Amino acid sequence: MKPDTKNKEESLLDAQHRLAEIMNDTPHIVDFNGTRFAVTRLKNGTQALICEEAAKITKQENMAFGDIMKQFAVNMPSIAKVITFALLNDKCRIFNDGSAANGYTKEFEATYNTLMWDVTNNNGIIEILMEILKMIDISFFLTSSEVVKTMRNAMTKAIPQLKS
Amino acid sequence: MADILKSLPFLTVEDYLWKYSSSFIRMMAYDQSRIKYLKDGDKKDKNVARAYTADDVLTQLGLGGSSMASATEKANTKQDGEEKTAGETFLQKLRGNVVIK
Repeated sequence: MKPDTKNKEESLLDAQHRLAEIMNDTPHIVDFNGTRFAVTRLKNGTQALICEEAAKITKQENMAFGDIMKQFAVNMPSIAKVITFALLNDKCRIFNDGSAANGYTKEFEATYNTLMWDVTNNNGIIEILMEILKMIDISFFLTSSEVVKTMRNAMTKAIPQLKS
Repeated sequence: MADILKSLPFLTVEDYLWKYSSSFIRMMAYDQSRIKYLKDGDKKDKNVARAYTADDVLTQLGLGGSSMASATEKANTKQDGEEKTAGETFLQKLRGNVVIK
């Protein structure tokens, strides 16, 4: 088998592996500050909480993604809160009795305090963020469909231009 | 959210928010009804076209993956002031929208 074809088949197997992980919601183990966390893909509820946190720290309307990230970079409590949401990623683990009205759980408070006060290596936070972002990415599965869709859009838009 | 809940009536808001991951729901929302799965015998057939990357798909569509790649590279290297052909602009747009793994 040619090396090029071999690489392609390996990437295909990797895509199939990631697809199986998404369907089974397989957790990834992440080492952070001496503790091993089983990180699962973000739930929509968790994403909503993270967006809420981002909305709190944005000072102007119509801010770009880069500006929001800059605001996060200088706001450690918000970063710690977002990472805690992502690590726990479950309503019953974040809120007492699964209700926001009952406040945060002890597990949430403990994780948040660890992130805020006991972390010695900040690089670990970036690694967790990258891992979480990588886990929710499904573009590997949609590449072929996106190519066909883009082609179709481009072709149908080209016809009226030619007539005019 | 409303579109998903309308198209999947068995899914409750609670399920949508806290039961399934966002990537799982995005996979469910994607229309895969047109996909025809190959049987075991067909998988080994050498005449079956195989596409691993976006270039392979373009080649299968008769648009030539490698020639398009060189044309895109040519379009990308042109300076802002230089005039690009409609084809080059299209290829640039196409490449910009596609993530190739």
